[in-house]
Amino acid sequence: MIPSKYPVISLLLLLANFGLGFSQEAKEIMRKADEKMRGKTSEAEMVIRTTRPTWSREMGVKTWMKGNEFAMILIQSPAKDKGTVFLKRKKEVWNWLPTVERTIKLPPSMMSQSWMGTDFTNDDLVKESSVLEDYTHSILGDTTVGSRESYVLQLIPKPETALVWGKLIVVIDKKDYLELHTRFYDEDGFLVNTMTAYDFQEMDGRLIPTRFEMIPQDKKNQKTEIIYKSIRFNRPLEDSFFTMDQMRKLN
Amino acid sequence: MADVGCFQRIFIFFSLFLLLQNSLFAQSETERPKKLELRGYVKDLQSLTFDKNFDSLITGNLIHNRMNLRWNPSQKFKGAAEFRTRLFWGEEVKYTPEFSAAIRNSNEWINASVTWFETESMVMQTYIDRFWLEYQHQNWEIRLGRQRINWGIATIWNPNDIFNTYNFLDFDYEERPGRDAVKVRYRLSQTSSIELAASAADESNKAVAAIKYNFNRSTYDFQFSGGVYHEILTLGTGWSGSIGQAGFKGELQYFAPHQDTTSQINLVLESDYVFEKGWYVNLGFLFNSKGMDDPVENLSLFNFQLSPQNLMPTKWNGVFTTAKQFTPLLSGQVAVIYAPGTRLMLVLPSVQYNLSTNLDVDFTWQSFYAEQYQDFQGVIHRGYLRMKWSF
Repeated sequence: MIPSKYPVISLLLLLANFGLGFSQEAKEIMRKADEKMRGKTSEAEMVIRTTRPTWSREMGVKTWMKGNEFAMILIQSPAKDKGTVFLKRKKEVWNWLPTVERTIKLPPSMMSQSWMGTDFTNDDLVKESSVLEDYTHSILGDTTVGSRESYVLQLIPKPETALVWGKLIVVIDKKDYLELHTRFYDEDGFLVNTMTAYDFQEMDGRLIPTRFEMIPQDKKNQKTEIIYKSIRFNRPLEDSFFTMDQMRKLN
Repeated sequence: MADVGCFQRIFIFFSLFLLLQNSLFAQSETERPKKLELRGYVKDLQSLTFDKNFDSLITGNLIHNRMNLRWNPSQKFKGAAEFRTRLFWGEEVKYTPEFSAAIRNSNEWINASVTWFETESMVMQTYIDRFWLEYQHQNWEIRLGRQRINWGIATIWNPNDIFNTYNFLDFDYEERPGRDAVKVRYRLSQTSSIELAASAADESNKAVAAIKYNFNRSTYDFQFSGGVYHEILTLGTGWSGSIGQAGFKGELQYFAPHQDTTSQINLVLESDYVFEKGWYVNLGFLFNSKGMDDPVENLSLFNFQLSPQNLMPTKWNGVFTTAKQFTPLLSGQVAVIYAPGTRLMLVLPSVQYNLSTNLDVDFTWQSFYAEQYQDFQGVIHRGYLRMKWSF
């Protein structure tokens, strides 16, 4: 059930209830890791590859993000979806359909659903929830991933948040604060998804993982990968970029 | 007719003006990557039309090509021309009187369709359904030409869409019809704007002009509009927001009394929700104050020549839609529409499958039922098998 690569985690999972760590320090580690991949703003081009036993499909997307409040995703390929845009402003999400040139507002219940058939949810993509504000953090211990000394953190959603997860186990590299590995558990404590980071490279002056693999626990022969082609951090991005007008202009 | 001449002159004047402006300033900005972009698809549609008891069958064949040409000469200007070419053949063409006239958009002001040839059982037609030029500067946006003016918010029925109503049964026309119009938009803030649109028509009394104000407040999008539709004063409002985790949308359109006609109201209310495991459900309701509310013996009275005043021929209408993506490649949906007074029922299931990155196949079924002579029975059934290659 648990890959041998992470024996320490499997042990720690058993001891999860004893995980007492230092909450403030844990949050600070998480903050640094979050800042690493997110920046104050980010603009990225990526490929999302969905793999199943008999086929695979790729989708090219461009994303713009600013904090937790604003996100925009433009689909660049395949041809039939090209020009489709998703816009998130605070708690609202809209979808721009280029063929009919109109916007559709998505119901809040759509956030926890699969995003365009991938193993990621809408929430994963637009970062509706904040790994900092919506969870309580604790340090479970240390581990080594490859040659990287890492922290093992446990994130429990705060009671008032309506998150789909019951618990997250996050492995963060001690030197560069890279989020190497994340396990998503449901409310009954069962492992649902495992996300692992690969291909560490420098992009826009930062060392970051440029490929993430999301593998559903009950479907081991399927996965979704996010492969970063480019990413730029902390370039000025006005709030006024995240508007319906801009959704139309991207086309 | 004098009005039409006037509109036409203004139209041509602005087109020339914009073109000239454009060529003068074209070189100043070069940020956009693709100046000219061609996209589109080729579709093949096989249709089967059965009578109520599945005793008779009429087949139809359609090869359909769409070319969307986009021109981005500068950041301030862009233009589009979209061509829809269709080759129909088979019994459907043979048994439909004046087939080539029936496939024309009655809303068009300048005839932009060419019938390449027409025989007893075969027709080929090209239709330009988008042809516009747009100018953007700061908070202004002006678009002139054949375009779609989407003021609708809800999913199937859009009372606020007073410029270019679309037929929800015409699933093979994803782009939906457009109109010859001018549209001016002014952005007031990040989430609010004013839009003014005027569209011309063959006859001057068929013109439509209206202004719309939209804004966002407390996680709701709101819009208010007012204008003239076919010489009738009309007012509209619409919203989209949520109640808890469910979406909540609505549209209301009022048409004032005019000459011999009384006032009319069209109201749509709609809510959608996504359940765990990805089941999407949408429950909608349409009230058309001038719709029929009693069983109709002669079903040809069910006129699906839809217009902003006739989104459904019936008075009270409900629609339930459910959709699900079974795998990333396979999805399906079913919509059931029911109008209690006339006891008209439409059952509309479909499945879609992605064969390869740019190749899709889908099957769509449309069954119509109604009360006739005190008996609820089938009226007509249609099946469509479609292949689509996108580029």
